[in-house]
Amino acid sequence: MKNNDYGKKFMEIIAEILEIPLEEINLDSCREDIEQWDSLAHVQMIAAIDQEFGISIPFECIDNIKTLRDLYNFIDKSVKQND
Amino acid sequence: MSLKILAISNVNIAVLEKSMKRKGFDVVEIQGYNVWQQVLLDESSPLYKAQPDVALLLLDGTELFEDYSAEFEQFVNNIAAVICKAANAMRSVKFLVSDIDIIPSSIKPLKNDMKERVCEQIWTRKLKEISDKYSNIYVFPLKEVVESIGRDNFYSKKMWYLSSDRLSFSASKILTEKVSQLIRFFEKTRKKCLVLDLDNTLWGGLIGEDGIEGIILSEHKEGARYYDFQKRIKEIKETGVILAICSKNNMEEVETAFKHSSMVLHKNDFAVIKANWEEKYKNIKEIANELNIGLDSIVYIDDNPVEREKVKLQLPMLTVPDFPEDTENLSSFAKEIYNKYFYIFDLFEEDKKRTEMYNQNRQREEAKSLYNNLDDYLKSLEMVMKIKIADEADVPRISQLTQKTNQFNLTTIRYAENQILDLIKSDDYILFVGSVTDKYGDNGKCVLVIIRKRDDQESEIETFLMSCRVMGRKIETAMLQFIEKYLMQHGVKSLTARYIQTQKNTPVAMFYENHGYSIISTNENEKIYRKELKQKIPWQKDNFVDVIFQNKY
Repeated sequence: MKNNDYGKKFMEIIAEILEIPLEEINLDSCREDIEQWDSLAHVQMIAAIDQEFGISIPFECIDNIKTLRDLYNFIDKSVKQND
Repeated sequence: MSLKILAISNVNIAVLEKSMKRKGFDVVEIQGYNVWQQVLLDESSPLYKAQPDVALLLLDGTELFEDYSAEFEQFVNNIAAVICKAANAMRSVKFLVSDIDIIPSSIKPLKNDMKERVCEQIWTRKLKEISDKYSNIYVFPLKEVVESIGRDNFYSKKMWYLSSDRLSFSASKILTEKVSQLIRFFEKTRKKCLVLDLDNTLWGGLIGEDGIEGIILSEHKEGARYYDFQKRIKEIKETGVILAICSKNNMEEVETAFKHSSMVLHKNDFAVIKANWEEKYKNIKEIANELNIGLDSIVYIDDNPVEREKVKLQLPMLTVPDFPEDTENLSSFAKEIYNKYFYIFDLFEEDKKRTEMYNQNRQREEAKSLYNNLDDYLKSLEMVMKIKIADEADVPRISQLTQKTNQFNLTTIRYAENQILDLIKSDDYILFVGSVTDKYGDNGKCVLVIIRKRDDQESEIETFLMSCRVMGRKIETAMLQFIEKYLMQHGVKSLTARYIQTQKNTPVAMFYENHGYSIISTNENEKIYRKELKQKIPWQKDNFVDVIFQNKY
């Protein structure tokens, strides 16, 4: 999978969980600005990213995720490691 | 209107609820954590207050095991009693109760008590028992979902430790899909008939060219793709679906093919066989006519895309699914067809025997042509009608009859199961069910009359209906005479009746006129009748149907 394919899949999962149209979010979207990004959605997003990308976002990092980019960086890092 | 659903669980299922809302369900919320037993018990709980269409009880086996494994059987008995109580109190609520999956603790010797598996089985057995007993309790196959996607994919540790919700992202999605698929079938009427092509569908190759030796069909290896497909089709048939064949072939060759040693489906599994060189849509139309069913209740399977398109063009109301491109998927294709179009929750005797009944009907039709007049033919059938006053065991079938019967239905009132149950318990109503057998076979329970007592001397026929498979045999006359006689013996002096016109019941528009009833008033779509039940009605000698009353007069 190419890097931008990961990006697309990532955004689709997020949009589905947040119940927001794809075009209304981007990597700079942050938790404070999105009403649907509540604590349940937060947990759901992290668990889904874990499962769908086969990674494990450490428990200790969960509270530090404030933007979609913060979340996406975990995928990015794992892709680069595997390259 | 969206369906109202309430999900109950011993773990957090907020994600599932969210995903069901997204699917368009009206989800009733429950406040509080781990209140699932109270919800089932407490008559002031959201379950009792909201009386949803569906109550989904999704149980996490691992938690139950943690909490109750010491006395699991005792726990299961208690909880089953609680579920039954709720199901009995709310007959209109459909209870979908899950089986359970217990994650075995891996820290134990290889030789151990296997307690997790044993507990799963205790629950499954009990669940089966209560779902057999209550027509509104159904098993929700949770374990099957765990097995098909794998335990590691089904559960999410992160969700569990962060929000006490065990389900993974994909598990929530699959469960929602499964629930909504099941729920859709509560609303939808299943299709009735599966019409099949033969060559390259039920076997590989062409029987006309390759002959019985040449077609691909065997119990193992390549031919097993078709063998397994036929097995699934046979299973579909056994759930009460009528099978028919529509194939461009000569009948003689088709007869030969049925002699193949690996053929699962036999000639008498099919209610109609059209093997000729006519256009397929014409044959399918004829099948619908012969079976007396609508084209919209037929699913047609053909491997040839050109034929499929032609049929779809001519008969747009027909369901024509795409055939799998890789024939190794034939068996799962059959399952998909069943899940999509023929899914059934509960099977009555009448459903199981449907194709047989149609076959018997064909024999009757053939016999009919041997007689010069109808009366001689009817006499030759040696019909017997057993009539009984309905009791609780008859509730599902009676409700089904009122839901499905369109042609011979004088008032077309539909009753849900709980309404029928209320009527049976009420002193103001008597429900008579007739089942008809003749020398060709058993037609099952096919006549229903619902009588409402107005006072001691006057009664009303609220419903009079008969399944179309026994129409045209003067059974209705025998039933009506029986009813009049029965009521007269119970002091009823006059009987009122109604005919409410619908798009489909014009064949019985003159039913009451023909049986000596006089019209007392008419509205736009309705005729109201009365008949005085005199002591000396000249009882027409009933020549065709022997009536046996199974209760006491």
